[in-house]
Amino acid sequence: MHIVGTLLPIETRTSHRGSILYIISLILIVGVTLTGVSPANAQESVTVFEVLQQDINQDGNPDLAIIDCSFTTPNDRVTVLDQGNDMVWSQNWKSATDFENDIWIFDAYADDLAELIVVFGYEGDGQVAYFYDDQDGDGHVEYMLAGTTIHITESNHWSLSVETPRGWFQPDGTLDLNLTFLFDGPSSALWFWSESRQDWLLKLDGSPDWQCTVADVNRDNNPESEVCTCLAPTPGGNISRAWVEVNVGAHRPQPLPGPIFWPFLDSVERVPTHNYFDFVPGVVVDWSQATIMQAGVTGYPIEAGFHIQSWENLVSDQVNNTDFENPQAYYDLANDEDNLPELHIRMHQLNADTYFSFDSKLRTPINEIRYSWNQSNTPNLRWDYKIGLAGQHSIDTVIDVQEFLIKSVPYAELPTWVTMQTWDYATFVANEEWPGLSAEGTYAWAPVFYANLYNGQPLFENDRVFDPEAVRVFPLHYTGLTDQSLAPFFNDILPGLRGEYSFALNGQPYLYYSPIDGRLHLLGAQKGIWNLADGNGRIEYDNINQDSYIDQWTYWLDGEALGSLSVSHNWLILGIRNEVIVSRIDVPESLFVTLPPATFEEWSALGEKLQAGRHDLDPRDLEAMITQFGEPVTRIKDAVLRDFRPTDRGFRFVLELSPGFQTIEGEDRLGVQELAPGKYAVEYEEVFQIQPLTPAWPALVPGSLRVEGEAIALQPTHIIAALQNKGLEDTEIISAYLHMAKASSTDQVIDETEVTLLAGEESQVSFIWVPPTAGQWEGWLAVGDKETRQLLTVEKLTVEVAAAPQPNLHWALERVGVAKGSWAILGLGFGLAAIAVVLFSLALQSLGRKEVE
Amino acid sequence: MKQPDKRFAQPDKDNMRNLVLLILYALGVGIYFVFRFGGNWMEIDTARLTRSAQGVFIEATVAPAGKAYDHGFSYPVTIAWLAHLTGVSVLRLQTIILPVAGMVTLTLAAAALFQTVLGKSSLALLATLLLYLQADFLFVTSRGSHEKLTWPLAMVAILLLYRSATRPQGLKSFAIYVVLFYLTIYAMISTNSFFASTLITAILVSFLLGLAINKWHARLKKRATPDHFQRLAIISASSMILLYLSLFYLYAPARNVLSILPTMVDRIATLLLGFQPQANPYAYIGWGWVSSWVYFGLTLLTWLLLFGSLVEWICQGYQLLRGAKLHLPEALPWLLYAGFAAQVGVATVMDFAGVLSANLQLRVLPGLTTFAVILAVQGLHRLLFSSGLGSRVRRLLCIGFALLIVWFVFASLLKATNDPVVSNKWSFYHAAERAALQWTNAHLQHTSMWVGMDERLSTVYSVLYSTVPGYENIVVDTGAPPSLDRYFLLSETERLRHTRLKMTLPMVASENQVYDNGETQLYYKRPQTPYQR
Repeated sequence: MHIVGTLLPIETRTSHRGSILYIISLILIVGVTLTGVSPANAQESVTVFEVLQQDINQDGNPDLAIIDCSFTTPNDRVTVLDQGNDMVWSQNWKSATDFENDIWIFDAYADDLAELIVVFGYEGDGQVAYFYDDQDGDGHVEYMLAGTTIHITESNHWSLSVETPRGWFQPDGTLDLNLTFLFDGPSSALWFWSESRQDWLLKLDGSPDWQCTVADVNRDNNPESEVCTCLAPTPGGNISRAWVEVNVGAHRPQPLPGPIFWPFLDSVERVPTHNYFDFVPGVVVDWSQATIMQAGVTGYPIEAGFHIQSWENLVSDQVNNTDFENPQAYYDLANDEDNLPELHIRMHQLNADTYFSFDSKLRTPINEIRYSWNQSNTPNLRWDYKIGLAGQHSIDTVIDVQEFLIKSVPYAELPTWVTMQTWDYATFVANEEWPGLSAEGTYAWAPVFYANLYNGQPLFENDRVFDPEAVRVFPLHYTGLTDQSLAPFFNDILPGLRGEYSFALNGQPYLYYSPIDGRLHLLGAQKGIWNLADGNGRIEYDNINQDSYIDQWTYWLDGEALGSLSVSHNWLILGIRNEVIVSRIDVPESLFVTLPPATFEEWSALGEKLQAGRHDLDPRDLEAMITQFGEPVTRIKDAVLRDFRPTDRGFRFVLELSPGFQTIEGEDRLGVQELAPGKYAVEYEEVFQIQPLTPAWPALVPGSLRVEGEAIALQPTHIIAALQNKGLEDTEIISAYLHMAKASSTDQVIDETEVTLLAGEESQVSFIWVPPTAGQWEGWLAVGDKETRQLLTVEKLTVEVAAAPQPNLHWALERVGVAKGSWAILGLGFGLAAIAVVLFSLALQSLGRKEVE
Repeated sequence: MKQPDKRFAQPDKDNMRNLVLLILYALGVGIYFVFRFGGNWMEIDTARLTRSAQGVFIEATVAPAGKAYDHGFSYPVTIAWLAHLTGVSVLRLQTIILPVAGMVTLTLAAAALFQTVLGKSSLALLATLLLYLQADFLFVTSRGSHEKLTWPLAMVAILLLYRSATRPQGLKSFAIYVVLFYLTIYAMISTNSFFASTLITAILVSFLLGLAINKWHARLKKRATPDHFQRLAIISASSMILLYLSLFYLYAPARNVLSILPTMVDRIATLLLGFQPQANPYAYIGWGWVSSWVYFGLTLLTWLLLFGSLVEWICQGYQLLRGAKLHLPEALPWLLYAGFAAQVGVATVMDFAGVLSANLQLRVLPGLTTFAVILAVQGLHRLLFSSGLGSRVRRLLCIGFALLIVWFVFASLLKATNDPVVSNKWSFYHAAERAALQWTNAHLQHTSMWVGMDERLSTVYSVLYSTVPGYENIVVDTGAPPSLDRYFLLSETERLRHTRLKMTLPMVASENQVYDNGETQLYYKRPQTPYQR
């Protein structure tokens, strides 16, 4: 930066001429403050002690103003260098200086070291401010002042420029909020790019790297949007290249809380946590580091509005296939205008035909929805419920932001769009006890991306992904690249949260209200967990008959199941401690079914229904879930219930009666009164039937062990068998082992598979065997664990393994290369050999001749 | 060292006949290389340079996006230029025409170099023949790699260096040789900066060795010996500057090669400090050939060449140590042999460190081979025509060598083509496999497909379809079948190869067969989740 001036002896004097102007200005400023955002506020946060001026070039007019003041510490200084020959003598800094052609040197601590230099100037009809902040990490901006010439040696280029097409102020004195921010080089203000990425891709080279444009089209001090686009060339991959923020609710921004002379400049410590569009766009500086920390529209999130963060950059005059966070939208669902949203929707959007992982492209688009709402309207960013959804919908609607055409679901339609679509699978999270807050809804149990299981935990810890396996597997599963089950990843959740999932939703995300536990559940949920706060254990929810409703609640503490309540065919069956309680009820499976609220009316209605059905049952008190209905119960003391499961037309379980057992309450509905202590299988089909339990007895279904297809050496072969359980007790998960052996060799376990054999039912098992050699092999099956295997087959399976064809000489000559060209190839080879021998002979002959010579 | 036979510089009828026969032999080798598999062959480097040339052809730039050849632009540009000029496709040029045509260029360059260096056309004939019988040299110059240009350029560069150092000569001819030399060196750098650097390094080592010998002579004679070798230092320094300019200013993609340096240093440090090999460059021998004996049979000439040339190098070195004069250019073969041999030694260490696919010594070996044949032929000449050898023994030796040459011809052809009769690393493909790949390209999208245990078919797919829109929509996988692949392409050829190597085939018996042309089948794994349909 070179600004040429003249080095002359300095004459210093103070001026008293501006006092009248000062008073007039003050009156004007106060006046316009009442009508809009005005520069008047600029005075409030800065205390000016004294203004000293110097006439450096001795032309009778001042060229330099030194303002002793306090803008971040009790004792700061600002030096203003006139570049337009229009500085006047005045003790009022506003009369003496301007934001049109002056250079402002900000010196926090008044230690003669600059922390920021702002060069004001004109750019066409508009005005511009060029910012120089610290670039070498020494906490200062180096410069040299010689007369009226300043040499900014910190860097050759500004790091930020702020432009306005007409001027900083509108004719009525209010601020013109149509501003363009240009960033050059790495900057803390570009917080969405990591420091390493910035160092890699952004260079302070005089060529701007990012541009953010704030639009206040009707100049009512109520900006509609900000659009940021990356100007720097970037390599391929998932990098944020565009940001859009839209002030849908027409939220009116306030002046910056502590403007420093220029109404768009503030200190980082003075700007409180705020939403975007809470304050006018500006430049926020950390004076202790001499660094611009924020620039443009700042704050997060908003009560009514949305933002888009896209990997695809925005291009004018074309429809942009915006992706990634498209959008994150916030809604004032409670219509309370409390500057806090009650609904947050984040759509993670990937477009079809874009790179995804492992160099593969997506066949279809992917949308992951995070739909969180604050049903209790607490005065903070708490989210009571969240629905996570995975879908493959194309987004074809186009919105217009600052004349950029963006493919996105329009803000007003988005909530209904989400609830009315069909989704492949869903998660549901209820915040029962978790105290955490979030500006982006509830993270926990994301269906596809960034599947960090614990809400509030960082996605990355020490630069390592918190749960790399989940992050890897989820997208692969959803795109069909792996059949690895997702269920194991949903086996835990942050304390205080209750989560449920359905991997086979294939529909709208309905919720239902269970009369059993008095809580909202995901309709069609396959399983759920409530991780009780304060180490109180957890409740596991199961849908054991695989219909739409949760029908089993199990309370776990320290790895022990303390009770399990099952609902089937209007019966409530509870096994708890040393008792079994049975009761018949006549209540529906759900009190109401609803979609997540998308409007104020739906939100209010849901709130009323939840309030009406509120039970306040202790989730651990499974017995209370039975007795709340006031129906008669059968209570058997000294009895244990286990292995409850549905059957084709009823249900069954195992009842263990201890010595001294008795029915201590209600009638003997199970018919146990005359039974001796022992283990019994209880089956219900219209009536209860009870019979002594026989142990699980795995057996091979005769004739079922066979080879599928022809067995060929070195080629994988399927061997299948049907197993059955002849006992009345279900097996645990057991292993079935296939043994194969060739005659006169020791047998070896070839493959094992896990299977559960239900009492009286058959199950097919399949093994893969790769015969190492041809010949006759024998095989047999066993079940059990590694130590105790029970032989299942009496007769052995005999397998004739054919030899695999080998690549022989005939094949190499006849099938490889030109058909029937083997003789030509051989002939060519021999011909070459002949030529080589001739050449060798000729060489020797010639050498011999020469030796003789 | 003997002065070259000046009389031999005049071509005569015998020379012409010999040259024609040599070219005939070279053409025959090229034709064999192409038509052994009916033109259906491909390997990694050929595929890579073919894709690069296709990129140059389509994008009309020396550095096509995503396809620029890291080490140099000349070869892809040459191929693209030939394709434009002749209207023949890049693929056809690479796999059918250039393997044959390139042999003529190589023959001329090699014969010219050997005749200049060895001084006798009969020795040059023998050396050229030996070069063609060395299977590794034959392989790298026959396939569609830059080495088809690189090694002839290296030979021309050494020839020019040799000529420029020949005394006496006028300033004009000297200047012409010098200018042509540096043009050739730059051509080599622009073809492959790494290979060019090996030649430059060899010249540098030659200088140092020459300097050491001269010092030794000075000590022997107790007086200063004129230092003839400073020119080699100037040449290597100038060539290094050319290399630097090319890397940092002329061809940006070449800088990518520098990115491997930190890894290289790390790996070598691990090897040297930890005494723990990071890779076994010879593991390939164990499975790459039907047996180790077959491998040694096929490479017998290489071992004989290395041994013979080493013996000759030691003999000549012994003479030097005893005071024989070391003159440029006659000493160049002896010095450059040492320069390349030293690099083969270093490359062996780097191979054990696992740097650059652990086959660095194979890349440097052709350079050594060029000078090994010179020394070996000198040694053979010395052996056959030494005065102590009776004519009967000489005759028997000649017959024995002739029989060996017959074997070397077949061995070189079998090894250079990776013939399935002896090799397990196949580079051919069946027309039916190509048809199956064509079908998959037309019908599959956004999926991954397993095509075999190695790159045999994936390289074919890449050169056939890398210029077709949607090419990147199919990931072609190789190796042990990973769980992410949904499609499996299994051909009779691949089945036989698995059997040969006693490797287990993918389990496809119960999967959906979606394509079958008799020789090749495509299987689609049964969906296990709703998202795999």
